Amino acid sequence: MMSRVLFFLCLCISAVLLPTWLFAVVALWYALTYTAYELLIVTAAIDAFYGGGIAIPYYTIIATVVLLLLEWVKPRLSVYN
Amino acid sequence: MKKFSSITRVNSRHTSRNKKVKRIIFIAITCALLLVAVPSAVSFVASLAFSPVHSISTWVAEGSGSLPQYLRDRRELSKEVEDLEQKIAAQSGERYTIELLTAENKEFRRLLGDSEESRTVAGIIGRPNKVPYDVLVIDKGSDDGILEGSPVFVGEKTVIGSIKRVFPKTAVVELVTSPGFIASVYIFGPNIYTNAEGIGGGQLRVGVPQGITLKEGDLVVLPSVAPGVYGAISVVDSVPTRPEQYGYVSPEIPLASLRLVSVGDTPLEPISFDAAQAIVNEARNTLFTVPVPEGVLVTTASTTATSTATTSAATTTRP
Repeated sequence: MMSRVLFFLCLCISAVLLPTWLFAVVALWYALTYTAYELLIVTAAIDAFYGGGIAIPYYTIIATVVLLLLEWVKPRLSVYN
Repeated sequence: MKKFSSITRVNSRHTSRNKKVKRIIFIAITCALLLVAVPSAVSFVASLAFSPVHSISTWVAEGSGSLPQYLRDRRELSKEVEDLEQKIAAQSGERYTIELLTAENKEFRRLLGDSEESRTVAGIIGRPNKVPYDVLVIDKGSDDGILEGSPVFVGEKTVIGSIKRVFPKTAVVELVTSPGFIASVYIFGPNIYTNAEGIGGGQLRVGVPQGITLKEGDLVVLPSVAPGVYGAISVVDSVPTRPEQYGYVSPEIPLASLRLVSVGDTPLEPISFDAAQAIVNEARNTLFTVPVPEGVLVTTASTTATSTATTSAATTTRP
């Protein structure tokens, strides 16, 4: 639980400080490690803060699609069995 | 028994996965609804989390205080010999502080000195490539009198965008170069009005039909903002077989090297074509006119006056 909280804090900081592609790598790693519901909160916050006024919340949509895809892929990966 | 257990485990996994999928969809829809229904509240909460991180990182990376300077100097000088390290750190620290303060002073003067409109100077704490969208985050907000929709300038005349969202301590600047941003521009050289489209990375693209002469270095003005110079055409992409040609416009100072901007105190409002024309004329006058001292400036008026004076002098000296 503690490691998850620390990882989440790193994810939040990387969302602000790291280049977008690096944040994507950290977020994917987080999503592979846990069922990352909180990733949706982070991406919604990014859309609200940086993209305020933009009609389509791109980051939230991408995160939702990635999480759903991962839920489909995970049972097929030997690491999770 | 073994088969039953296996089937039960598989069913349990399916149920668990379905629950997770439902949860993901539920949270995503909730987030989307919140973003649509109360965008200001969500962005305010997000600003409470993101703004301090931006401020601290900028302070460490660019701050002129002793601690961030020490951290930077320490990184730079760690490879040096130990006794020299202290001397160099002290000397370079002092010199760096003076240089930094001098540069900052010059920039403040340039930003605030001659402008008639009152402006607020703000430091940049988040810029494209470092933040997820093509925006700037500045360290001044509603507490400092920043208003939504106010123009944002670099230097005295170059406009780079407008305030999109204001928080108490920070504000987000939408750049004129953000992808999809369309602005009316006037190009000096061919002297035409056209539309420019933001393509990200501090670049604007103007598209005009073939036959209109676009040259590198032609100045581009945003007539919706006074004084709305954006920059000059840096590259012209013209293929004779294509009906249109494109000019790529970049500002004089690249966005990546910006540290400070100034924010106008009046939000942008739609203006008429006549007002835009007046702004273009004003830009033309101020940009291409240099204050030449009286004795040095030679104009037709002064030439006429001089020749008249000479003639009259010649006339009077003649007996």
